[in-house]
Amino acid sequence: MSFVWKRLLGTVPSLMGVIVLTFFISHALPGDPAAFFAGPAANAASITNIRTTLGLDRPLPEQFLHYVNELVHGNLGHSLTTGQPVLTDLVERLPASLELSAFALLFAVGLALPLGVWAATRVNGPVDHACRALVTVSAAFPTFFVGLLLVYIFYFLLGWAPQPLGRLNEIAFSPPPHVTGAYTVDALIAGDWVVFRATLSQLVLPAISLGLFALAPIARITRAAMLEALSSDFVRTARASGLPVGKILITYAFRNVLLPISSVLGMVFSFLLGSNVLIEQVFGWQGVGAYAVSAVIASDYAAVQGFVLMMAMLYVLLNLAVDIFAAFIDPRVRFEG
Amino acid sequence: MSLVALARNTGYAFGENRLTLAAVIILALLALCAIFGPSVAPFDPLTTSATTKLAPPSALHLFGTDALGRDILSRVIVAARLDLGMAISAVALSFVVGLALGSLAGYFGGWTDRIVGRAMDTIMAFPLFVLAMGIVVALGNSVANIIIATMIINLPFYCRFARAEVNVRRDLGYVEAARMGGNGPVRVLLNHIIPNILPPMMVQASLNMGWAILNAAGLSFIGLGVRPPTPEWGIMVSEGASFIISGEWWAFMFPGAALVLAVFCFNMLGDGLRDLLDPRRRV
Amino acid sequence: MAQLEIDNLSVEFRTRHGVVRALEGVTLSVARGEILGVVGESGSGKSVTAYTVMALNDEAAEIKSGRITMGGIDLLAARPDAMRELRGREMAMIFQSPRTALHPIRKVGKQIEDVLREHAGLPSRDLKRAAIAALARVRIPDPERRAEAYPFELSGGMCQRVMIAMALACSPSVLIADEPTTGLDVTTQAVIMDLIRDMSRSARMSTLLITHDLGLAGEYCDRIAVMHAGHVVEIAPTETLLDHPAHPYTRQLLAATPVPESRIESLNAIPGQLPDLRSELPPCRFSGRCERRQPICDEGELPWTELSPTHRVRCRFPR
Repeated sequence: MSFVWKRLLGTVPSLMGVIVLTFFISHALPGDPAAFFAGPAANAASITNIRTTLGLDRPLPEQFLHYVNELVHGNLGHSLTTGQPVLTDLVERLPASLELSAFALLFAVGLALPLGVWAATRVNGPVDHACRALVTVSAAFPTFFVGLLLVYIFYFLLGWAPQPLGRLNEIAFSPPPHVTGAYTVDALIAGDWVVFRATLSQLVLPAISLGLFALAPIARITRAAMLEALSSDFVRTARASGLPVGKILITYAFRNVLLPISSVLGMVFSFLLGSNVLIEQVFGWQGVGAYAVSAVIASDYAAVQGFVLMMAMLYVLLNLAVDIFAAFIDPRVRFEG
Repeated sequence: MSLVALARNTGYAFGENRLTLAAVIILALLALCAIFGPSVAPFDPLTTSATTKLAPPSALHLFGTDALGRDILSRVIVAARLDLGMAISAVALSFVVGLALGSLAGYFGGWTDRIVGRAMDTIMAFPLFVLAMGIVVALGNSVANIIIATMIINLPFYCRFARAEVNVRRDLGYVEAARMGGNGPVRVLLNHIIPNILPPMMVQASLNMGWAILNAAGLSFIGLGVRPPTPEWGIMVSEGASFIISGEWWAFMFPGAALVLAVFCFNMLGDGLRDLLDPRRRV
Repeated sequence: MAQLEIDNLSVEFRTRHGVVRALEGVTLSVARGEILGVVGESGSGKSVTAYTVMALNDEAAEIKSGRITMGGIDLLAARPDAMRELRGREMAMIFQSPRTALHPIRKVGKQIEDVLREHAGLPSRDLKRAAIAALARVRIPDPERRAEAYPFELSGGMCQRVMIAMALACSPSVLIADEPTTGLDVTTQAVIMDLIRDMSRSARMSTLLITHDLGLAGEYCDRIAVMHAGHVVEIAPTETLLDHPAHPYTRQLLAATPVPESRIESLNAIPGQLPDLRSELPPCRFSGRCERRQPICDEGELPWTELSPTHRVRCRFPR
């Protein structure tokens, strides 16, 4: 348990760094922050007004303290486009993005792990070649292009996928009662199978598009680590002890692959949180990514800053979770603290 | 490695790996498009035409035309300059700055290492694409700022690599000898250590190029940096996206395919270089 | 009565660089309660012999001829799943570098339980107790606590005891020890070897001890087989081999083993190198390095010479 506390404390410098960097980006870079916060329709008077209101004429350290103070009170400013507090906007839309990323991760891991393991057990076989080809090719496709391609093939050409209107076809269905914000979960809680299936069908294409790029590093490391484990001394001992094949594969070989995989997850999460923006744009998904894009186009500065801050905080927490998971599966990590 | 040996090894590596050779050839073609684009393109990429809007691929317009009647093939060819240019500039800047910072951190250790390390950790604490978005919005919506943003998010990659490599070599015999010879630290770094870490760093750079292209394209896809009517693959995909559901696939497909091709070839090049220069790292 | 018999075993490996004739005409036997030492340089085929007995060879291995029987069972004719059942139960193997030979992130007690669960037919609730008992049998102090340890928390000697415990958990009739003490410090070596000898005797196991250390073999083995380049060149009871070595290679090995009184300048190396096992090989694979070489050594098949009922040499000019 002390390990968890240590790791938790270890995130503090990262969080501080995030706050400092976001402040720096918004307040200390060339360009007039007051003009940004005032918006594109502002004139000289309103800009000066904003400047005094936001305390942007004060010395930088004072501004920073004010900024941190605001953050602690959950005040991320107001959105120009929605008029609401940015925090409210973000919290409203976050479940949609999290649901999408979760399914994308599920797809990526669910496909990459078996593929990597199978490829490693039959080296140079057809599955191995397919695995390596998939890894190489999927690493070259821009996420947004994959999304559009899948829409073209599966919606327009084949008609298998529903229209990419977002999370739910609001004409035919209404969203389930809000519990978590994730439509799939809420539909299950409400026992509403129809809406559950409808939501799921809307999730398929965007989740696959988002997850495809994440597939490559996970499959590659699974295959490599599995190969190494299978040719290791301890697997040879397990074979010499006459242990069954399944036990050797899973308990002996695969258990040792979990650590390398978790070390790759950091990069995967960075990608998922970032590319979420692109996929939400392609599929009209009502998540924080789409919110950020419209904020960017409208120069809604507070909203963009709030988005960046929230994503960074989320990322730090996710990395913490991965660290703790790594310590859980590998006692040597706990030992080294 | 002597030049003769390098040439022989290159021939061997490429002979062994036809794919890498093909990738290099295609990249050379793309580079030609980037350099000579406007002269090679059959049509003016900016000329609109109301009569030939969204025409499918034909003998005249090999890639079809877009919503404003512009020839897509020409736009794809001319766009190579911007896409490759942005990526190469960003990677080159990251490379140089990362090499400098990482070398100093790896050589001197102590506070230099700690400060540089903290700075890099702070950058890495963000999902990188999100950070790039924030930087571009803060600095202003322009191509130059896309390059700067891409440079910043790529920095930790090179910085950490350089730091590790310099750290390993700092106490080796030949470096010690150079120090004994009275060379100051900067000279030791520039003349002795850095030339030795350049090859593996070049491998990292070519592996990184693909990612830089995708990042820049992603930013322009959501409307940052490049503004219409400038031809650029990311923004062309975005422009063509709305026509998919009505079946006009050529508007988004060809610029997207160009992106895939460029990234794929850079990845192959990177793999080939790595096999050539450091086969131990093959995975 | 011989528990383990290897008769005229020849094994080849198909590799990218050609066919490696790793073993040729290897004949050995180990009786119950006997410790047979297999001695030779690296690459002489000692480990390949062991792996072939255990059916642990790489896929590239091809058994060209020979028979291996254990307690009457024809091992080479056995199906893979039959072999898997025998491994760990009737025949066991321990390896060098014990810490890397154990699952790095699984408690050692659990690893022993894995073997017991598969072969011992015990109900689940007895597994833990049986594992602790196995650890106690190899004289590990405080076995209940040690069973909860991970390999990285144990010393090299301790890890080797765990491996021995795993190997002997189901009381096999054959034990193969492949360089079990290489990499351990000298005191621990002695302790481990004493343990192996004691367990071997008390359980009346047939033990094959593979080592490059002639001194170790001399100390602990009843009989010694000397291997060179995939051939067994001499087999004899230990004292006979050490006092009256017949094969020129054995003589040179003995001469090369440093004694405390020897001086560095006078260390005797064996001339030449192991022949390339991919190339065309003469009938006697030592002839290239042999002082007694005659033209007839390169002709025909190399025969066994029986110097006494217990002492056999594969040489035309023994002694």
